[in-house]
Amino acid sequence: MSQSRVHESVDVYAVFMHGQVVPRAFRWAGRTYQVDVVNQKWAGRNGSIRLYYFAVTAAGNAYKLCFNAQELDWMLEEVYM
Amino acid sequence: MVTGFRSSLAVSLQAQARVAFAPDECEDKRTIFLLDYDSFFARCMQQAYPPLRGKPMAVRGPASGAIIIAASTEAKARGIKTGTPLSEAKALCPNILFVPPDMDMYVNICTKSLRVLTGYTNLVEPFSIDEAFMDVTDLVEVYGDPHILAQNIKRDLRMELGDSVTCSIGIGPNKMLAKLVSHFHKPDGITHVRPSEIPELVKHISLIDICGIGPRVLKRLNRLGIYTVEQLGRFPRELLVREFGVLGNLYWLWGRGMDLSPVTPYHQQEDEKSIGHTQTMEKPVYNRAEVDGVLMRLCERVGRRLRSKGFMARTFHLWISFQDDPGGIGGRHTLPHAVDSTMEIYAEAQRFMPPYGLPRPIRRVSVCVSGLCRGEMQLSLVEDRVKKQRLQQMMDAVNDKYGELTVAPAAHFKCNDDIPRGGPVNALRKRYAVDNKDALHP
Repeated sequence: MSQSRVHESVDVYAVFMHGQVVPRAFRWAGRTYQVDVVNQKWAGRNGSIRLYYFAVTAAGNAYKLCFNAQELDWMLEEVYM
Repeated sequence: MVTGFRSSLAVSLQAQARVAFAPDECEDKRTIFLLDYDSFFARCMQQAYPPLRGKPMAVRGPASGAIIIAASTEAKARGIKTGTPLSEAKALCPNILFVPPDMDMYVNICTKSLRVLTGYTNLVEPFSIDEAFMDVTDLVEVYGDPHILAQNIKRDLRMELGDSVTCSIGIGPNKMLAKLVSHFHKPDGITHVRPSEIPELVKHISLIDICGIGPRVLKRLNRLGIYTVEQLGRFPRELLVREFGVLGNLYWLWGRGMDLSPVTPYHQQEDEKSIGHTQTMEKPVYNRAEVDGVLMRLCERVGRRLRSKGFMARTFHLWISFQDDPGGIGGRHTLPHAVDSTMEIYAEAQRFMPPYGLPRPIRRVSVCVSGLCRGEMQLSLVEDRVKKQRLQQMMDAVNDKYGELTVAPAAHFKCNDDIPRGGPVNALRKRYAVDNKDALHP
């Protein structure tokens, strides 16, 4: 079991519905990960920029994804495996 | 000599203590809940990241925090608790995993939980980021049994926060007893103390078990010959008031299992009395420049919180603890005028630092301001001060927009740690009061 900080830009397939954001899959290091379950979601800030975090499980490991609402981009922040 | 006098006085006072312990006096018609989340930070992490579940893990302090701020139940079973140094935790449990804290997550989860609680009653008082009081007196009449109500609340919290984030609930006729018994059945328990059980309960608890009686108060109570809760309740109230001021009255009531304080919702609570931050170093620090960097960062955090709330402060406290002397050195200084800028707080804190170098390796630094007041700063006739005020405002504006430490005094960067966030309770209050409507509900 280990935790590592990644902080890399990733491509995310997400669904925006009923005022909610649900990441369904993401592509990192040339591999696509299907999101099995969103375990937790929360919001934060970096200065005036609103950030939305998603702790997801994919292929047995856990990942922390971050959506930057200003830049409209996604980052993979941490991996727990 | 003083101690001897106090001891003989205590014996004399105890001989005079003839206040009978009457259980019916303790009867309070209220029903108070204290919800205490089990290993809150660690459980939040285990909920978010399933590979952590069922394993000994701990959340370490912010930046390069040297101590554990929350241990999982599995880690606690191996003797690791809040405040344990990382090296000691590793020795106790070599396979323990340390993870950094995520204050944004904890504050959001706490905000969600408060939404659940305020769905039951408006009488909810956040006590810390992982504890809240509820006055459910009226609800118990509807539900019939406080246990059923407590189980319903736990079920709703589990649905909202996830199965890993559990809480224990203490039920009592007042806040002091609800808080006291909330620890009796952990994790995920419910403990109910009824007014008729109070006389028996006070026989089995120590003074230090009562929230609000710390080691210093305990010592003073011991000097009066008070060693048990029962003795506290039987001690003459007026003599406790003479020794402790208004707190003496409170202690006397606690000794009888009574607490008249109401559950006060957040929006009715008084302003903070002081603002402070502490950092424990990962290793003893010998380098003065590094300590100055830590000091500057603590002053900036204190200053940012002060200014964000529109406060200014007159009294400044600094405390540094050494590796071989946890008592350390420090002091307090009050200015004739109030200030709020980081540099002014830093200058006041530096008064208590040794003039050159460090006498011994430093382990912990604490900065606190009190004597808080609101209001505009008086216009200074000294142009230099006006310029400094404007500079501070500009720096705050930049950091508000682009994130903490986008601009900061150079001394900040003498230490290489991550950027820490504000204290959890501060963050909770700020977020809950101001930002609640803006929170995302994805």
